[in-house]
Amino acid sequence: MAVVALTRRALGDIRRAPAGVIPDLIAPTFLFVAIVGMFGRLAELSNFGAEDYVSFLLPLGMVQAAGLVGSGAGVNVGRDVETSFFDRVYLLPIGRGAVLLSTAVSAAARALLSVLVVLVVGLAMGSRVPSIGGLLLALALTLGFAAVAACWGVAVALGTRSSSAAPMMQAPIILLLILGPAFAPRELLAGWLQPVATVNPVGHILEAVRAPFVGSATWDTTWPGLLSLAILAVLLGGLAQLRVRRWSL
Amino acid sequence: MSKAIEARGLTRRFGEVEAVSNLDLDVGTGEVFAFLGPNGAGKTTTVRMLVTLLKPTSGSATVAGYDVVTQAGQVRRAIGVTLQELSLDPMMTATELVALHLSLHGLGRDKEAAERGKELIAELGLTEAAERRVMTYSVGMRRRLDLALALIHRPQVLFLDEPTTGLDPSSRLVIWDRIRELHAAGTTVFLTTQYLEEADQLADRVSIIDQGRIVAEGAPEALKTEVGKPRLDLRVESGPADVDSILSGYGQVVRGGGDLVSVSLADEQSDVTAIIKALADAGATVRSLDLVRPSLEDVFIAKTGRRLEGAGKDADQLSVIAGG
Amino acid sequence: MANLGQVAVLSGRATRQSLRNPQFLAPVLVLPTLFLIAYAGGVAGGANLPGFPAGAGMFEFQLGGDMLLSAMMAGVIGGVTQVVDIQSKFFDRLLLTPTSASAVVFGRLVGIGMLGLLGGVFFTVIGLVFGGRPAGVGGVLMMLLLQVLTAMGFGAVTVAIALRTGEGNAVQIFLPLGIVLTMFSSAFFPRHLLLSPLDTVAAYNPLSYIADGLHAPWIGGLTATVAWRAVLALAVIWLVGGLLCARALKHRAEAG
Repeated sequence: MAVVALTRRALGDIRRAPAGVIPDLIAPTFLFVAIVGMFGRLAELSNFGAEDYVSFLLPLGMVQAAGLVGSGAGVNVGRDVETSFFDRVYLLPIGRGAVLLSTAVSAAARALLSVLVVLVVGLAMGSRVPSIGGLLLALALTLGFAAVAACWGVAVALGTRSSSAAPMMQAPIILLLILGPAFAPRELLAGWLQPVATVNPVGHILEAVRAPFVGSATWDTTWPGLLSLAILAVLLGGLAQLRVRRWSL
Repeated sequence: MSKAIEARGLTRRFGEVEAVSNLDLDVGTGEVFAFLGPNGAGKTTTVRMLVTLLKPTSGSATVAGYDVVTQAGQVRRAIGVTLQELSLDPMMTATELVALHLSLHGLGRDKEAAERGKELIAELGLTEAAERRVMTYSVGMRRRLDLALALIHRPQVLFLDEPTTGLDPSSRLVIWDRIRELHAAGTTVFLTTQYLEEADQLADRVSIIDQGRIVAEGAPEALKTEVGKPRLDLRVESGPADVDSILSGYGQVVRGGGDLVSVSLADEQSDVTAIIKALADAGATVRSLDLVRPSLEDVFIAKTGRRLEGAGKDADQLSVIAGG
Repeated sequence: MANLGQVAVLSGRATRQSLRNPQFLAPVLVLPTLFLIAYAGGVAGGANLPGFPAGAGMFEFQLGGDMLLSAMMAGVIGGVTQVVDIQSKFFDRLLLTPTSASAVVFGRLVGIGMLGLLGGVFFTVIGLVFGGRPAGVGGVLMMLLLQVLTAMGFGAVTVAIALRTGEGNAVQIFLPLGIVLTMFSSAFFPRHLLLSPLDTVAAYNPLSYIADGLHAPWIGGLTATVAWRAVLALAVIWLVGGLLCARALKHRAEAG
C-alpha cells in the first residue's frame, strides 16, 4: 500500500504540470532522429549486420530515453530532500524498501511515456516492426533499465542532498550507454572500445532490446541482458538502499 | 556657489508609470544633499539618470558641469557611485576589484592611486579580508568595499544610493564618518535615504520626494521650522504662580494630564532659561522640562499626509497634525 | 574606439570568472569529451565508408566536431556569466566607470574567446596525445583562431540575449540549442555522408563550414576554399551577433 501511495504521489506532478514532461519527451526523440541522420550510412557497411539503421538505432533511442528519464527521477528526490518532504516520508512507519521501490516504479512509469514516443517516431521512420512478444520483452528490459537508472539518481540525490546534481545523475548512465554497441555493432567499434563493451552490462541490455528489432529475440540474445540488468539492479539498488538506510545517521 | 548637480524638468516614464515627474534639482559644490523618500518614490530612478545608467524620457541634467546624456563619459569620470544593491563580483577579492577599478579609470599604472586604494581598504577596515573573495564578506564589509570602489578615483561628486540600508549600527557609523570626512574635504555628496536620522545628521540640504515629485526642499532645520514651532513640555508645581498666564507670553499653552503643561513656542529662538526664571520668580517649581522640536518625519507627514515608513498604504494615511 | 588596455583588463576578469566556477568549465571541456568518446569509439567503423576522408580515422574526424561543440559551449557560458553580472549588478558598476559600454561588452567577448581557446588547446592536446597529427603549426594556429572566433561570435548572440532579458533561463536554452545546432551540421560526420534531409540542413548551417575548417587540419584537406568558407560562415555569425549586441546595448541604455 505504501508503495502505491508514494508512487501515485511521485507521478502526481505529471497531472499537475504536464508541461514539465515535455523535455523528457523531446530530448530523447531529437537525439534519436539526429543520430539516424548523422550515422545512417553505417548500415551500408558490409559487416554492419542489420538491414537498416533506423531499426538498429531505435532500441538505443528507447534505452537512452529510459536512462535519461529514469536517472532524472533523482532530481525529484533531491527536491524532496531540499523541502524536507523526504524527512517526513522517512518518519512514516513504512518499510525502508518502499521509498526506493516507489521511486523506481514511478520512474519506470514516467519513462514509459518517453520510450513510447521514441518508439512511435522510430516506427514512423520505417523501423522494422518486431513481434508482439519481442516488443513486450524489449519494453520490459527498457523499463527495467529506467528503474535501475532511477536507483542511481536516488543514490546521487541522497549523497549530494541536492536537486541540482542532474548532470551527475544522468552523465554516468549515458556514458555507460555509449561505451558499448550504441551506434554500431561490436565489430565496428574502435579497438579500445571493444573490451569495454564486453564488460559493460548496459551494452548487453541494449543488445537484448535490439534483437527483436533487427532479427528475432532468442534465449541466447536475451539472457546476457537479463543477467546484466539483474547485476545492475543489485549494485545500484543496493547502493541506493544503503543511502536510504543511512539517511538519518 | 557653483552647481555640482543641476536638473531641469527631469522626467522618466516606464510604460504608463511616471517614476520621476518634471524634477528640478540644484546641488551646490561641496554640499551634502539628501534625497529623502519612501520606497518607490523615485529616488533610485533619479540617481540612475544622474549617473548615466538610465536615459531621461525628457528634461535635462548636468553633473559636474557635464550633460548626463551627451557627455556621459565625462560625467562618469567625475563621479563615484554606490548603488542601492551591492554591485560586486562575489568571486573576486577586494584587491582584485580595486585593481580592476583603477585600470578602468585609467589609473592602472598610477602608483599614488594604488597606494590610495590600499589606504582606503585599510581605513574601511578591510585589510585582513582584502585577499579573500567577496562571497565570504558580511553585508557591512561589502558595503564598505563598495564605498571604497566609489572613492578610489577621487570623484568630485559622490552618489550614495541608500548606503546604509540593512547595515548594523557600527557599520552605519563607519559610513557616516566617512561621509563627514568627504564633506570636510569638499566632495559633493548626493545621498538617498529612507532614514530620517541619516538625512538629519549628514545633510546640508534635504529634498523630500514622493511619488516622483519633490514635495519639500531646504536645510533640515529650515524645513522643520517651516512645519512647526518647537514645543516646551513642563511639569510644574504651580504654588502661588499663575503658570498659564506666564507661559502664554511665550506661545500657545495647552494643559496635559496632571501637572503637564505644553507651550508651542511662538519664537523659534525663545530663551528657555528666561521662561524657567519667570516661573521660578513667580514661585512655581519646575520639576522637568522637555524641548520637543519637529522632526523630518513631521515634515514628511506635513507634506505628504503619510508617515515615511510603510508609505503608499492607505491604512497609513494620517491627518495632518503638524502643520504650523 | 575602446581603450585596448581596458578591454584587456575586462577580458582577463571575465576569463577568471569562468575559470573560478567549475560548473562553467564542464560544458566546455567535459561535454565535448563525452561526445568524443561516444563517436570516436562508437562509430569508428564509419571511417571505412566510401567517401570518408581518405587516410583519416574517426578519432581525428571527431576532434574537429568536438572543438566546434566546445567553442559553442564557451559562447553559451559567456551569456550565462553575463547574466550573472547583470543580476549581481556588477555590470552596472562596470558601466559606471569611464569605460564605454561597448568596451565592457567587447571585454566580455574576448573573455569568451579565451574560454574557447582553452577548449581548443585542451582538444588539441588530447588529439596529439592519442595519435592525431594536425597539419603543422599553421594548421593548429588556424584551428585555435577558428575556435576563439566561433566562441566570440556565438557568445555575442548569447550575450545580446543576456543584455536584452537579464534572465538566466533565456540564455540556458542555448545549452541544448548549441548541441542541436552542432548535430545539425557536418561536425560529427562528413556532410556528403549524412542522410537526407539532414545533409540539406547541414548545407545551409554555417556551423558546417566552420566544422570543415576545424576538421581539415586533423584529416588533411586544408585548402583555401575550406578556409575562406569558414571565414565567411564566421562572418555571418559575427554579423548576427554584433547586430544583436548593438541593439541590446541600445535597448539597455534606453530602458535601464
